[in-house]
Amino acid sequence: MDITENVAWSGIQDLGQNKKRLEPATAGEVSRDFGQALQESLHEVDAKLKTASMAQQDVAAGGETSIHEAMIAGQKANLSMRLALQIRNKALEAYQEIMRMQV
Amino acid sequence: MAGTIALFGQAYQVLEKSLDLRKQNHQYVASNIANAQTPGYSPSHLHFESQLREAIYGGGLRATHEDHFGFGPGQVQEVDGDLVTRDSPEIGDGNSVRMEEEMALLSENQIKYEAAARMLRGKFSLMQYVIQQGK
Amino acid sequence: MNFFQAMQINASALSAQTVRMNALSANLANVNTTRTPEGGPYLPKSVIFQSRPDFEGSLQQALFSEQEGVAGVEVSEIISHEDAVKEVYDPAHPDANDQGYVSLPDINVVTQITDIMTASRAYEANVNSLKAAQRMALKGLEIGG
Repeated sequence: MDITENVAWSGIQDLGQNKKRLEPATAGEVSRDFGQALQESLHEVDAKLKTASMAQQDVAAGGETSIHEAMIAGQKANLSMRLALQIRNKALEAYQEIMRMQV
Repeated sequence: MAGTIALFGQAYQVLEKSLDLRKQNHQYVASNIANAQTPGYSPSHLHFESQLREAIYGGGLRATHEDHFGFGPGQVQEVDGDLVTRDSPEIGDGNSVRMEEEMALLSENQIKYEAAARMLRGKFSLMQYVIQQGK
Repeated sequence: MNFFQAMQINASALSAQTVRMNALSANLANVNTTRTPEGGPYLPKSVIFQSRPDFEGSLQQALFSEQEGVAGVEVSEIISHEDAVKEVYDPAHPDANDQGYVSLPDINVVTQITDIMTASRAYEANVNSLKAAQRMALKGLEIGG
């Protein structure tokens, strides 16, 4: 048994259930997983934006939300959005670079 | 185009409206402070927070509430607040300004104004960033 | 119509309170003054305030009736209290009359000092209001990026 198999077997013994560890991923699976991950993070950004928006409106209308709550929520939304945008840019760059490769 | 993209949602309206109303309220508070010793002067204040909250969250469940002002969701633009004037007491020189109250209102109004301005700036700046695609 | 109108309102109060301060200081300084250019003892002064509906100076604003609840303050008159004179028995005083009584201003120093403190706090409060307006205006500017 070479070292990769060793690692694989110990993986089975330790975790037992994670199917993805034992089988090599197909290209389709990888793109689907990445796509899913991207979608999830976009949902998260959207949720954060909504939370921030409601908190801000509540502060402006003299509601229960404290100012620092709204500010923190705003910054979280801000940063998640910026992060998502940067990831999207990087993914796009990577895609474009691959497309440029001569086959 | 089938429909226009709503670039500026309710949050922008609310923030802008709150800036307008607080600027107006400041005028009344400033007048009250200036006339704290004027005989017969009655202080006025602009009450708008409940109306604004109603316009944001909707009258809905509170339809029978006695404070229902008739604002529903989407009517943020119409909120204009109520001017409430305190009566003159019969005693003394007829001045009913409470300086401590006015100073507290001054502070609260200012802080909330600045908070709304800051939040609005943040929103615009994020939108700019996104439009430029983060480059 | 920015915060400038509000600032003018508070500025008017600063002027009015200054006038009042001056009158109060004059009263305090002249507690024992028996001779004035008009003849007779010094007469204590009171400054009366009245609210001044504020026009921004634009014709349009002046045409419409003043905004309810928005008003600056001005001095309507300065009263000399002609009957605030007290007779004090002091035959040794150069201005004593034949019976030995001197006419002195009837000024309660404690009241005057209390009024000075009130005027001083009112002045400060108006300065705070002015500063608040200034800060808000500048913060509003920042929205522009």
